[in-house]
Amino acid sequence: MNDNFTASDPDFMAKNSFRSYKIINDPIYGFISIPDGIFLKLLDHPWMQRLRRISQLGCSHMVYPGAVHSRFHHVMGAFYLMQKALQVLEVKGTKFTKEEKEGVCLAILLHDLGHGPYSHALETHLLPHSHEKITLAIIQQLNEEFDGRLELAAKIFSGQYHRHFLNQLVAGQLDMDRMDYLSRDSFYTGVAEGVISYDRITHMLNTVDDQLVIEEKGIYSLEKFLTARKLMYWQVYLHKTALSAEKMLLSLVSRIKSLLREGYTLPICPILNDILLLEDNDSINDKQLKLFRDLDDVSILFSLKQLRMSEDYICRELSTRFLDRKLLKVKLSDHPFEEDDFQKHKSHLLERFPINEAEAQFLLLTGEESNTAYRIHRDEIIILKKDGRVLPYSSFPNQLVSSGKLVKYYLIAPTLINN
Amino acid sequence: MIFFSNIILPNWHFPQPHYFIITKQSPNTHFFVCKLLCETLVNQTVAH
Repeated sequence: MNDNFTASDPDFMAKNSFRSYKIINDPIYGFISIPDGIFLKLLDHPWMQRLRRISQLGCSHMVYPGAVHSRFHHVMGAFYLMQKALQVLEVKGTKFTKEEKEGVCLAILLHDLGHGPYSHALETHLLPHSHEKITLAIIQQLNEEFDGRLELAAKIFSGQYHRHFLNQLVAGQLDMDRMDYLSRDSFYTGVAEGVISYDRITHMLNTVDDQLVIEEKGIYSLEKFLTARKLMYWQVYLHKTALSAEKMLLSLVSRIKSLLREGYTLPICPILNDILLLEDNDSINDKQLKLFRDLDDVSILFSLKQLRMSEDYICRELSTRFLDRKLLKVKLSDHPFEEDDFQKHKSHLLERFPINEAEAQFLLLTGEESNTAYRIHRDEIIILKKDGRVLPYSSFPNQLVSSGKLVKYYLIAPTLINN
Repeated sequence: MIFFSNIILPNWHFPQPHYFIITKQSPNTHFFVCKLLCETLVNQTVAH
């Protein structure tokens, strides 16, 4: 097996009929090659360029100042890892058609188009759909623009294609998306716990009956990957300070929405204004997508700056606190907060701030966050034993990572009362 | 030039250009040139 390739290897590009390509410098992997033709056309498309203005980690830069990388960055990294994975699988005997190779690379390049401002922070609150559902709608729209060339990419992305491992490479428990975001997010935050051996894992991949498997000798790299993801969740993705910032942003958007729907005019970005006034709709229509394409972190940041001078106290307080990083305080617990505790905080808030009972919900926030390190009920990671048998990871003895779901409850307020 | 370097090097980060976006959304034709420049910057269809 030839281990000495990189995705920017000119031979690889030539073998795969990519006559010319552009290279983009990436701090994690070095040069990433983007083949000419549809890939470059898509990279230059306004939908893709928009990802430059969507931060990968939402509000985590409030805790880790280095975490200012974008979704654009991440999709290029995932695209690079996909090129590497395909090369490994091909060398090991997996057969692909040229269309399948193109389809799966396109699927990973486009897999995050449906993210809105600050990534997960406002998901389902600007448009009432998950980012995956929006992504699929955008891919289908682009498919029309590119005369049906993205048909297979859409099928692979949505799990409709019969060769299941192609979907697993894009959206499985050991996919190129997770592999890139762990590497990238740990690089930009400086959190060493997230570092994974992406190169070794990629080299341990194989397929059996069109299912993605990992060879048994790669099990420790796999466990490092699963552990890293678990640690990154609590140390970065759900860090209490970043959580406070994200929930404040969400609360502010809810406040803006309710004021707009009551007929008030606010000096916010016109696109944000229009999208919050759209009727909730079960399906995604062109009008929603047109507005969504113009909506990014800048629309939110601009609105926050404008709202510093708002007549509404809640808007003024939340936007000023967010911009100046005077974030609300957070209390985390393994159990739900008692009603008594909540009421005490509410009374305290009403005594100290010029707000009424109905407005308190925008400054006193409760809820829960959870993470499952490894899922066993659906699409398990399959291990290929040396004797050729395949077994799910959960059936292995002495696993480092269990499948339990960890839930944490939060209470967020301007001041917290000690019990 | 550092300000615009993220168009070439995705690893560059700079304060977000809020006003480009707002002007891009302006319907006023008097701002045509301004709007065109903003549009090209936002979509990275930079002049050759």
